[in-house]
Amino acid sequence: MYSKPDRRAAAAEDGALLERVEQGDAQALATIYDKYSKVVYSVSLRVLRDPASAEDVLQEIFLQLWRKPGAFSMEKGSLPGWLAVLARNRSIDLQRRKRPADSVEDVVLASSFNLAEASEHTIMIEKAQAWMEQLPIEQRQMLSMAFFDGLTHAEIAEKTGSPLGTIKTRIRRALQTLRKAAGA
Amino acid sequence: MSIDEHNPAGLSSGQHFAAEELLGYLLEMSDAPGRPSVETHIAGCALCREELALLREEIGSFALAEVESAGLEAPPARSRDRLMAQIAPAGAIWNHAPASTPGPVPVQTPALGGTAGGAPRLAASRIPAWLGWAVAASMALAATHFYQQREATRARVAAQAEQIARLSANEARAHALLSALVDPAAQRVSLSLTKAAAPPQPSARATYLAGKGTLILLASHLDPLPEGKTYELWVIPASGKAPVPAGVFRPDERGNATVVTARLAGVGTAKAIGVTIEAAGGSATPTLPIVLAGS
Repeated sequence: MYSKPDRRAAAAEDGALLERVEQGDAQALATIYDKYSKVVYSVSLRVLRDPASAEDVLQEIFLQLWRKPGAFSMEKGSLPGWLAVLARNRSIDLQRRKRPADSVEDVVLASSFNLAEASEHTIMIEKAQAWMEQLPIEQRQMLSMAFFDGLTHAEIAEKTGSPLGTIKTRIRRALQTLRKAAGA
Repeated sequence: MSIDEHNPAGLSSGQHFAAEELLGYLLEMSDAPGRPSVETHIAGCALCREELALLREEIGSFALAEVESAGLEAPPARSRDRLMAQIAPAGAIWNHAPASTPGPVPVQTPALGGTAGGAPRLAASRIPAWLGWAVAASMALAATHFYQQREATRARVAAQAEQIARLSANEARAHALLSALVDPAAQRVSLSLTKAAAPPQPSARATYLAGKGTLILLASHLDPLPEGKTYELWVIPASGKAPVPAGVFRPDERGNATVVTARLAGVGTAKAIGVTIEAAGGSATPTLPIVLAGS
């Protein structure tokens, strides 16, 4: 998300804001909202594809941050990273609650992944996120299915027709690629 | 630390969790290691705690890059107001400008005759007599304004609740029909003409789910009906009870018709499904002959 010095500065700033939130400073929460509401809303919208539901998740997350700012600590990584994962998890929860009882046999597991779209995304990513260039399309597909489509390892294996062990290896390689790229 | 260094085998070694297992824990995957076992482990393992934090950061960065590549979406402006309204202390009024400009600051409204920023209290004798009336009038206007706002909000909420109820009912009905169509317990009956006729012959397929009282009929090549007449669908119960009417219908110009009956109460298993021609509006008992029948 940031270069290392920028990341440290951003983390320090976020830490100070969270301390103020802990003391009941609503203005500090407003500042955090202005910094990161787009991240939370965009992740949630990507998962849910429904603006009203994404807005509900956004509200839930910032209210949670207001009520329990201690749920986040710098030991858990950066605030935007934590918020992105939280937004994803709450969105998947909401999606599962909304989904009708899946007794119907021919329900197809939704996947937003599309090779053509992915190629377009890659072009844009080259401009915005240089380190993403290093993530091969197959590895990106694995992470996208897990993160945005809420699929488990077994579900990805079923969907792609690959053995479970292969899926785990691919995900692991994708995480290794992200690690190398982030450290570059 | 690299993922390889953390766990060279890439599997749970009994010492540490593999990266993909920690990712499963982070993303609350149902096939990930149990949350209590991961939490117990990371509470005592600085290496895994660090790994988890790095993974969260990296997967968060991946998500951010993905959504950024499609263009970050700004939430509606009302969302910020909604949040601020929920957390604002009573009596504080918030500046709703985004914090990129100087941040919102609660506006302290000093009480009448009180102090503001340490200013000396005003002597009561200096307050003009008309000021009280002016304040009262302003408060009355404000109260009217807030009352109107509350009523408008209440009306909007009621309309939305009604819409939600309607959508929920539609969804439940659609789901019931879909379930009936694919339920292995459903009786699937082909109906054919009971007397010889020139092709194409009228035919129909019925799907009946006794447990839910759902009957779906797809008919084709039906003869057109004269004015004042209608086709009527019947379920003949296996219990030997009288035939139960399951809906009236008229085919389209190509002879096709679809009947969906979602709630046939107390019919039980069907011995047969039939179609008769009745007077418009339908009949309580079938009129012979039965033009289509199947069991």
